[in-house]
This record gives sequence, C-alpha cells and structure tokens, in this order.
Amino acid sequence: MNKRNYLGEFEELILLSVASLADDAYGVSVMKYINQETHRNVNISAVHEGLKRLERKGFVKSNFGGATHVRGGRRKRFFILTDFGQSALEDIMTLKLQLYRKVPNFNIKLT
Amino acid sequence: MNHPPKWADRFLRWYCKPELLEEIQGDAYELYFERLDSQGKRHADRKYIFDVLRFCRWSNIKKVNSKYQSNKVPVSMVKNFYFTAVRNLLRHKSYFMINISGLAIGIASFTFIALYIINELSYDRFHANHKKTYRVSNHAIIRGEPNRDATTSAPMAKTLLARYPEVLKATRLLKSGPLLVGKGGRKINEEGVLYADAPFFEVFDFKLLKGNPKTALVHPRSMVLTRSYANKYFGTDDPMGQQITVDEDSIFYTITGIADDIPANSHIKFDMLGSMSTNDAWNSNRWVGTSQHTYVILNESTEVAALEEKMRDIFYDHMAKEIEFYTGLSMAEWEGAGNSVRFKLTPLKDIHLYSTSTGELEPTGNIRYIRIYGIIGLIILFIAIFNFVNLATAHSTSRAREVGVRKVIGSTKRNLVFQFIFESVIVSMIAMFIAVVLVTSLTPSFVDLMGKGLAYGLTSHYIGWISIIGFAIIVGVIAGCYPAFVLSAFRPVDVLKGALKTGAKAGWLRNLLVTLQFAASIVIIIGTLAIYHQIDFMLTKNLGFDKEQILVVKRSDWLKSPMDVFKNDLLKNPDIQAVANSETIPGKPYKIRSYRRKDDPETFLFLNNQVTYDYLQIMGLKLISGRFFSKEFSADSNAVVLNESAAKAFGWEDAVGKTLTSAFKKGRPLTVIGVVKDYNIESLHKKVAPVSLELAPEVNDYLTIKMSNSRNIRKTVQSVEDTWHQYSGDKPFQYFFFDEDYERLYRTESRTGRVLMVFATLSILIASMGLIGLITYAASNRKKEIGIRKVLGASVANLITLLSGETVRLIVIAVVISWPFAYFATEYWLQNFADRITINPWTYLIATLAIVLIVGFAISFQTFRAATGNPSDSLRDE
Repeated sequence: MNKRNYLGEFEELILLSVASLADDAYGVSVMKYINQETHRNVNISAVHEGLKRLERKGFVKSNFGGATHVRGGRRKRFFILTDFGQSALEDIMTLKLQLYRKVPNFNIKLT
Repeated sequence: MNHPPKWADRFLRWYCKPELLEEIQGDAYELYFERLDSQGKRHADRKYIFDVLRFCRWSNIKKVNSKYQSNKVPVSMVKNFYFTAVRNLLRHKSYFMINISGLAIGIASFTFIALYIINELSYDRFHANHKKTYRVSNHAIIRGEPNRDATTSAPMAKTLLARYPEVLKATRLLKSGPLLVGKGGRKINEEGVLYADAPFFEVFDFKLLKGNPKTALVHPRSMVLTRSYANKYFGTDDPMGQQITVDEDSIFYTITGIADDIPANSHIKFDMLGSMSTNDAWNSNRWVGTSQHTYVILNESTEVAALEEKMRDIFYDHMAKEIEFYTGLSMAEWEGAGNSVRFKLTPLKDIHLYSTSTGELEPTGNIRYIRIYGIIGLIILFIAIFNFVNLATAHSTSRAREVGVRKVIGSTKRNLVFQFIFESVIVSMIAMFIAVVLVTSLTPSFVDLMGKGLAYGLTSHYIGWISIIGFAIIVGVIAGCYPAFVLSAFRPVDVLKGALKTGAKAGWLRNLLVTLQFAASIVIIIGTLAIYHQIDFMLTKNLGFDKEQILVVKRSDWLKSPMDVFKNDLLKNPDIQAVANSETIPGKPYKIRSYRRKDDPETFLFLNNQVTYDYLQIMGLKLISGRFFSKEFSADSNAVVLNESAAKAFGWEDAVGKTLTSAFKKGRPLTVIGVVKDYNIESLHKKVAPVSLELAPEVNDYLTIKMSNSRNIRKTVQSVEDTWHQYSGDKPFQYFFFDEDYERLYRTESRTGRVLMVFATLSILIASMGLIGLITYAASNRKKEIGIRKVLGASVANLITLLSGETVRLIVIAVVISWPFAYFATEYWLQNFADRITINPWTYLIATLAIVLIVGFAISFQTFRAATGNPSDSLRDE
C-alpha cells in the first residue's frame, strides 16, 4: 500500500463528500453536505484547508467553473476525485472491512 | 445594497494570497448572502467576520517577497525622493526653519533629560559586585519618630565579619571635614579626605593605576590620590612613596597609590583616600555614636531579610549595654518610651535614588523627581513632534499635485508613504544634527542647572552615536507617519482637477494636537509657579528665628586662645553685634537627650542644643515666659530652656521653675528657667519638634556672628577672617552665611523649580513656533478672501478676529483640560510638605494669562500683517 494513502479522519470525510457530490463539489457544498450528513458544525475555512491538502496529495483535482451571480460574479472551484483518490477510498474500505470482520463478538450488519 | 462589512472584506483582501482569494471570497460571499436571507444582516455580518478570521491561516496568508507583489524601493527612487525632499525644503524656507528648530530644541531638551536620567539610574552599577554589596544603615526610632542614619558604629564592620559567615568582605568609610594639605611649603585648603579600611579596593571597583590594591591602605597614614590630584600636587613627578602633610605640618602621609578619577555616577567620591588605621579613635569599640559608613559584600545565596533579623542580636549584645549606661534606663524602659534601633542592609545600587537616610556621603537623588523630569522630557519632545505633524498636514496641499502626478505615472501608495516618511526622517536627521551641536555646546550650562556632572557624554562613545541615529529615525517615523498617510491617500482625479480643499481632511487632528500642546504647557507653567510659591513660602515664613545677617564660622576648636578673648576682639568691630557659640544650628543635625519630671519615671526625649549666653539674641528667639541663660546666675549650668512643644509634652501650663532630671547630667536636678516660642529647626517637610537648650560656655562647634547691618558684609567677613588667623595659627577659615545654608534644606525643590522654569519656557516656545507656522500658512491661503472682505468693508479688527478666532477657541479648550490635571499634579507634589501652601486660584489665572499673552503676541504679528495688507496686492494677480 502506498504511503500517500494515509488519510486523516476529516480528510476522509471530505474525500467521501467530494465523491458523493460528483459534479457539484466545491467549498460551500462540501461543507453543507458534511453538516447535513454528520450533524457536525464544520467551518468553511476548515473545509478549504482539507480540500487543499487532498489536492496536494493527489486525491482530488480542481477546475474553475463559470461566473456566477450569487457570489458577486466570482467563479467556483469544483473538485473531482482522481483515479488515485478513487482507489484510495476503495483501499480504505477494504482495509476497514477486513479489520472489522476480525473483531470477535462484534456483529456489524454490512449491507 | 447589502454588503458584508467593508473592513472585514478589506482585511481578507489584505492578507489573502491572491491566487486563493477568488475561491475564498466567493465561498464566503455565498454563505453571507444565504445567511442574510435566512438569519438577517446582523447575524450574517457576524458570521462573515468570523469566517474571515478563520480563513486567516498560515497557508492562506501572503508571504512577504512572494512573487505576486513588489515592495522594493529601487535605489534610484530613493535618490529621487532625496532630491525632491531637499528641493521642497529649500522652497519653503520659513516652514522648514520652524520645523527644524522646533524639533531640534525638542530633541536637545529630551536628550539632556535622558542623559541626566541615565546618569541617575546608572549610579554605582559599575562595581562588579554591585548586586551583592550592601550598606549597613542605622534605623532608629526615637520617641516614636523614625530616624534613619547612613552611618553606623565603628565596631560594626568587624563584628559582622566575625559573627556571620554570609558576610564575605567589609570596609568602612569616613569623610573628614576640610583640611589643610601641604607639600613642600605650599598649603591648600582641601574639602576633605575620605578614609577607608584596607579591603576598600576589594569591595569596590575603583581602578588603581599605580600601587597595590591589597596593601595601599593597610598602614597608618597611607594616602591614595586620584590621577588629577596626583597631577595637582606632584605634576609630572612620580608621586609613589612621596609625602604630603595633612592638617598639621608635622603629620606626614605617604602616597601609596594613584586611582583613576571617580566617575560622576558614583555616590562615593574622593580625591584623597586615606587609611582608616591612621587614627585609633576610628577603630574603637564604642557603639554609641555613629560616624562611619559600613559596606559589606554578602554571599550570593544570602537571604537579606533573614540576616537583618539576625543582626538584631548585635544591638542587644553590644549597643544596648552602652545605651543603658548613658541614659540610665533599663532596655525595657528605653524601648517602652518608644525607642528602638534596627540595622538594615541597603543595596548599593539603591542608595542614590531610594535612600531616605541622613548622613549620606553625597546628597541623594529622588526617584520621584526623576519621573517628573522624564515626563517633562517626553512632553517637550511630543510638543515638537506635534508641530511637525501639524505643519506637514497643513502644507499637504502644496504637495498634492506631486502626489497626483506620481500616482498617475504609477507610483504605489506604499511608495508614497515611504517617500514622505523618508522625507521626515531627513528633517529629523538635520534637527538631530543641530540638537547634537546644542547639547555639546550647552552641556556646561546644563550641568550647572542640575548641579550635577554627567557620567555619559552624548558623543563620547559609539553607543551614543548609534542611539542618536536610531533616535532620529524613530522621531522621523513617528512624526512622518500620519502626514505620509494623509498625503498618499490623495486621489489623483481630485488633485489634478483642483477639487481638493485646503488640508481640511486633517483639521480635527490638528486642532486636537494644538490643544494638547497648550494644555501640557499650561500644566507645566502652573506646576512651576506652585513650586516657586512653596519655596518662597518656606523661605519667608516666620520660622521663629532670624537667619539674616548671621555669619557662621566652623571649627572654632582650632582657636588657640580662650574663646572669650577671641569674642571680645571680634566685638570691637562696630559692625558686629553679638557673638555666640552652639553645638548645632537650625538646619543641621541635633542630638537627642532624655528628660524626666521630678518623681516621675516617664522619660521624654527632646532634640538638644548646647549654647552660650548670646544665643537667644543672635537667633532672635522669642521668650514666652521666664528668662534666658545669664552670666548673673551662676546656677544656670543646671538650667534648661524649653520650647513650647517641649513644655506641652510635659503637660505644663507654666513650665518656669519646674524641675527636671537628665541622665546626661548624671541625674542632677535641672530647673526650667524659660520657655521660647516654637521654631523650625528642620525643613518644613517636618513638623516642629520639642527642643531643649542647655548652657555650655565651653561649646565650640559653630560660632555664630550677628552683623548689625548688611552694608559692610564683605569688609566684616574680612575682618573676622583676619582675627581668625591671628588666633588660630593660620588654620583654614571656614564660614558660611546662615540664611544661605538654611536654604540648602530646599535645594532639591529650588533646583526642580529652576529646571521646570527652563523647560516650561522651552515648551511654550516650541508650541508657539508651531502656532506661528500654522497661522502664517492659514493667512497666506486666505489672502484673497481677506482681500475681498477688506474691499467689502471689513475692519482690521474683524479680520484679526477671523484669523485668530479658532486659535482662541483651542486655547480655551486647552485651559479647561489643563486645570484639573494641574490641580492633581501640584497636590501630589505638595503632599511632600508638612507645612504647605494651598494653591491660590490666581496662580491658574496667571499661568493661563501668560499663555494667552504669549500666544497672542506670537500670532498677532502674522494676523496683523495679513489684516493690514493692501487688498489690491492680494487681488491683482487675477
């Protein structure tokens, strides 16, 4: 397993959100998604920080979208998963499942 | 339109990396507008600010020198700034003169005060062991009154060394009175010799240029001279091993060392240092009576308070026995009468500024006065800086076009700020240069004003130069900051269109600064007047005795023939009214004696003076009842004269005829023969103390001579001196005038008064200069307006009111602000005195009136010139 696959808990959360938001993943939407799914109150600057780090590590890449009206004409920076990000998520999932199954007397229903 | 708080937005743009700004600002805005809809503006604003602050992280912050911005000012541009500055200064010469001279005077005053304060604060710190060195002080309480003495008993040093292992080294000092010092037939009256124990050079770091520091002061009659004194007595010869006579022609001292001259910031000063072993009496085992200063070096880990506590044993083991013997009281009785003695260790570095003891080697400084001087120095500096700010902002229009053009060509705001600060640093450098010249040339006058030498010169050390340059830059930046931002904020469109109002933007600030300048000046003036009134009050108050026309001669014990013969010879001179002798005089230290009423064990301690018959007449004391000592009553050697306070202490309505006993007179009954009105024997810092007078025809400490008139003073003194030499065998004649000596009790106060007077004058001078500059400029700006008003019929009086109206308003506000400050400042100072004046409201009015007159005078010339000018001159050019 590649060393760069290590992901913090919050980074993983962001990465998963980017993956689920598909084409509409940018700062505010990711923040809202996390707030809504986890009921955690996450600040926008923390999300930016996480996204920047993920991009640096190569899990996501970004492009500017077109001009908007809501944001005073400023463009959004959209994030999408890279192949590497995709495989990282899969690796993590496999690893976690593998470990969970070894826990004695611990039944987790996996759908 | 709804918009997030502008300042927060500006802040974000300021710190954020440009490449991240769009994304961050975009997201922040999106959230803002969403919250605006759902939660209202206040909430959204608050959240937005919070977000902006949270975005302020290291990874988002612009890095200095990042490639996205340039803040480097090329050298060629600095050159351009320099030439622009110089040309500009030359174009506005009067403005430039006012600016530079105000700043120069301000900086020079500040520098003087700083040098003085550095000198005071650096006292005694040049000794390597200054942190471990202490002086033993004698803290006595006598009849409930604290009495602190810098001197201790002769056996103190050796007892400390023997008893306490914490005490590593000890040395004693003793200062002699004036002495005749001779070499090869030539005799010079010297101020005195300082005597020290052999370890002197181990305790203190006075540098010995020649001789062995360990042995120089071991043998009796050894003498160390300072370099300049070695030069004075021996010139270019080698003084080592040579001899000089001290006091008597037959007493020879051998020169055993040459020390470097003593720095000004040492409280131990000497020119001649003798060995303490010279006189056996100085090395006695007597504990009562103190005369020597004892210095010790303690082990580093010593708990000073604990050692002081242990030193109480010394008192009970040694001194207590002698006190019992001399007072005839048991220790319990003596302490019961409100007496005690403690030995305290005063850190060497605190002696100069914090000691309140009497008998210090040289007059001490006072940390409170240091603070007062420091504040005044800063006030003057800031008055000068305010001038600079005011004039620069007022003149900003003259630079506006330049700013506009520079901006159009592409200068950034940052460059312009740099340019104007650079300009003000140039001005402050020039001012600093003038200030250095002023300081160097006026140092002797300043030393004279302060009555003190300075240990550090301004330019004697490279640190001095570095701080001068650093200080000039700091002053330049402080003064130039505000004008630089005002000037660089001009918008090229406004400026080049000519739509700019005359320096209106900074008007409120200018008014504020002018008001502050004058408020500070008024406070200083009121303070100065208060000090002068108090000094005047203290010197002219009826003290209960006369101090005029009294000549005091010291050391009458040197007279070889009986005192009476000498006195009678003096009295042959018709200008001499009376002659008396006494042990002490008001203003000098008094001894303490204990008294008891007959058949009553309660002890009273009074300050005592031993006097001769004519003392009452000479001092002009007023008898309330009874009589003074007289030759007709042979029993007067067992008589006492009390002052009112002493009689009151005994609880007697009429004290005359009552009987007392005193341990000093071995318990013989003493009759009270008279009571005199209370008189101030100490300074008015203290209340009148109970005093007893006893007759001692043989006493010879101070010879007081009352002159019958003030006409022939010089001649009379000469004749007394001639008579003195006739009877004393050419001993030095030492005299002083009683009133002058008494005034020395208020030396610190008179000095502060004089210093304040000088600096008050300077502060007003600088503030007025600034005002002249402002008014001149305003008048020249309103030249056309004045011309038109005149044509339309305005009188000269109208125009003067118009031009000076605003200034008058500012002065009124300054007065309102300054009076309460002045009130509290003077009250604070006057608390130092037991007998004090209350400040007359007239003082405030006079000080204010003085300011108004000075300001009026300063601005009248300019306003008058503007108001009387011919309108055709000012209107013709259009």
